[in-house]
This record gives sequence, C-alpha cells and structure tokens, in this order.
Amino acid sequence: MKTPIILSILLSAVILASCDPEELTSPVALFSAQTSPIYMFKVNLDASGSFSTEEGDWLEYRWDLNGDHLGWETDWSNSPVVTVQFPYDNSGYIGLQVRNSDGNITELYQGFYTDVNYGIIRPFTDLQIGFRTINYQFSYPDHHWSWMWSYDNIQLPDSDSWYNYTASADRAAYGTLMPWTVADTLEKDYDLPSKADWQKMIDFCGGAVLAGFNLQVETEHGLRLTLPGIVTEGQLQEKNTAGYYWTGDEADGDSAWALKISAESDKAEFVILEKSSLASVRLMIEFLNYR
Amino acid sequence: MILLAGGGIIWSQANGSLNFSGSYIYMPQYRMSGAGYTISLQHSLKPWLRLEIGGSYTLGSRTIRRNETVNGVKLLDLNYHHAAYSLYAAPVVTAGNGGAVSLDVYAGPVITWQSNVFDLNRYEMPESPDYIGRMTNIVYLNRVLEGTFFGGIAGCRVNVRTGENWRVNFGISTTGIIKAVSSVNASIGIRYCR
Repeated sequence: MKTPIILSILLSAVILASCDPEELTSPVALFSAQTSPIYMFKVNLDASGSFSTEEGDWLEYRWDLNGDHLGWETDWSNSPVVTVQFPYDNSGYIGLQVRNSDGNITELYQGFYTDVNYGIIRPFTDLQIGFRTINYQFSYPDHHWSWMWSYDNIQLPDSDSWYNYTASADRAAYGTLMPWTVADTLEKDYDLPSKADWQKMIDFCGGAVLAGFNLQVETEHGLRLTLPGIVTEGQLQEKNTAGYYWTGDEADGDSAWALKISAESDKAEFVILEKSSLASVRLMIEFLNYR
Repeated sequence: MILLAGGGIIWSQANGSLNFSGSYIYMPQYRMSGAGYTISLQHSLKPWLRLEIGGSYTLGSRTIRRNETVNGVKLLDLNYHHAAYSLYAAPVVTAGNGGAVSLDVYAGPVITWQSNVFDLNRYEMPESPDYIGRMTNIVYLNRVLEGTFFGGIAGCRVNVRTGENWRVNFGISTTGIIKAVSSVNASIGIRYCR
C-alpha cells in the first residue's frame, strides 16, 4: 500500500532533480566616449562594444548619466549610443546597464576625467575695436601647443562695406558681418582660420555631428559662437537661427568656404558663400614649442 | 525541531538503527558536483516497514573554463558554489529483511537550507582611453540563491550484513527541491542496528 506513494514521491523527486540544465550568463558591458569629454559639451557615449555571451542574443541599454546611482536617466533602448551634455567639470562617473534577452543585466560604472587648460586675455591688436582671445594649452611629450582663438566675433567701425547691428548689445554679441575680402586681411598677427583650422576646432568640439552645439554652448572654455545670420544681396537673414563664419579657404574666384552652425541642429558644416556675402569672423593663431 | 525530536524518540526505541553515509552529489540543473554526508535513524514499525529521519550536509561546485578573449575582452572562468543542510523524514520499505542482503526503498519530504552562488559573468575589460577611469578593470557579477526550501527525497539502498549489528550499504537517491537546487546522490554508508 505504501509502495505507490513511495513511487510517486520518487518520480516527483527524479523529475525535479533532472529538470533542464540552466545556463546562467549575463552580457559583457563596455562603453566609452566617442570623443574626449569636456564639461557642458555634448558627447556621444558608445556601448556598441558590449556583447552577449550567447549567440544570436540581443541587448538593451540604459544609462545613469549623472552617476548618482539613484535612477536611470534613460529608458531601456536598443540603441547603444546616447548623447549627453557632459555634466562634470573635472571628473565623475557615468553608469550603464546592459540587459540580454533572458533579462540578465550587467552594470558598469566608469569614471571620466576632463581637463581643458585655457586662459582668456585681451591682446594688443591693430584693429580699432579689440577682442578677447581664449588660449588653449596642450602639452605633449615632445612639444607644447598653444592655440589662440578670438573669444568674440570681430567688430569693425561702421562702414558701408559691411554690416553692423544697430544696438550695441547686438554688436557686442554678433560682431560685424563682413565680406570675405575684408575678413581675409583683417589683422597682421591673427589669421582667418582655414577650413583645416576650423576642422581641428570641430574635432576638439566632439566632431561634426555635435560641434554645432558645442561651439555655441555658454561655457567659459568654449568659443561661444553666436548666430548673427548672414547678409546676402543686402538683406539680413537667419538672425538668431544661423551663424556663418568665414574660413580662409577660397572655393573659387568668387566664393569661399564658411562654417555654418544653427540653432536647430547640433551639426557644424562647411558651406560655400559668395565672397560678397557678409558673414561673421573669428581669428586665430597657434604656436608650437618643441622641447 | 520536530525532526530532531522525532529522531530522539526513534533512537530511544529498542528496535532502531543508526546510519552514517558519505555521498557523491551531482546537481544536474547547474551541473555542479560535490560531496556530503548523511546521518539517519530508523525505527522499525513492521519487519518490512521502517520510519527514517535523517540530516545531511552537502557541498558542491562547478568551474566553467573560458579563458578566451572576445573583442578585446578577456572572459574569465565562472564558478558556481553550493552548500546545503537538509533534514528529511521517510517511510522505508524493506525487502529481504533478516537476510544477508536487503533492499531499502524510501521517499519522503525534505526541508533544506541552501546557499548557492552562481557567477553570471566575470571579465577583464580592454585598456581604456586616458579620459576614462574605470572603477575596476574586472567586472564581476553573480546571482545568490539562498534560503530555506522544501522538496522531496526518494532513493534506495542495498544493505549487506557484515556483523551481528553492523551493515554496510550502497545507495542512490534523488532530492528534488522546489525553487532551488536539486541533486542526485550516490552513497556508501555503515549502519549500526540495535
């Protein structure tokens, strides 16, 4: 009589003990900033190096962008890349969770360091209206690079050859919109930045996709480009929506390259303008000192 | 406590027996293996029926060798660890009682306290850019399954008489635990009969 009971318990125990093997795995979480992070600049954080240890698996990502361990600033997303305005002026942590299709999660916090060495001065120039410069300093094992950019849009006295805003506040913010021929010969010590110079600045500001934002961002160590618009055929256009900054590179005899930034986009792009168009100007100079 | 009290009552009876066995243990769900020991007491109710109460302690582990580098990430070995204290009570049906060789078949409920730690991942990350400072270069994740669980045990053992009061036995059993780690066991033991 006891035998059926014993057999049924035996069968249950065997079933429980021999259930399917369970493989426990969690994904590998990795992420890095696509460019060197700078305080208040937008930067892309890329977790695409993360992977599942199971074949054919897929991953989801979410981020603790302020590193407070209190909550997740993003929802779960299939995209491994997130754009963040870097919140730390020196260093801080950013967290990532990666989840696989089984729901297993790997969490990773990384510290990021940022250090922009710069100074702002008002140099002597041969322009009637002076300007401030921001001097970025970069030290390398074999040389020191000093990279100076005008910190204000260049202003010129009133003239029929260029355009000045009426209000003094606008003049201070936007500078003078001038034709390329004037911009190219403004100052003997400072050069109109070439496309390559601007490209280096774009790279410094997180690449073309984000530099449009980072060049405008209101932080002391940024160039803080404004959006004065452009004057073409005598008409001021795109005030507060776009900024055009001359480069020193001609496209052909009648046109030259300019950097365009806008309020609507984080991008920075080069465009060709008629040399007679009136656009904004920043100047620069650099020094390389080898040890 | 009930089981311990029951064990004391059983041992106080004149027709009881005490068994000590060592066992090899395998946990198929997580492919861990290990060893353990069991102490049990039997009380004869009828020539073919006994009541058994026992307690056991088991340890198990598993190492998953990986030693490979994928996308610059060094995947490190994963370890599983298991420890359990169990108590069980089971009726035992005996065939061949009184002979030189007898067979016990038993099954009953189990209460167990288990502690299991499973590595979900361990990996060493690739070198990072200068502007990234990681909290650690090795990421380590595990899952802990710990607590008191219930289940059942069933098994059989062959007893060989070796003396007036002594038996040597060889057994196999399986322990199914709900929501925790189940196992199968092979054991060898010695029994003292009053």
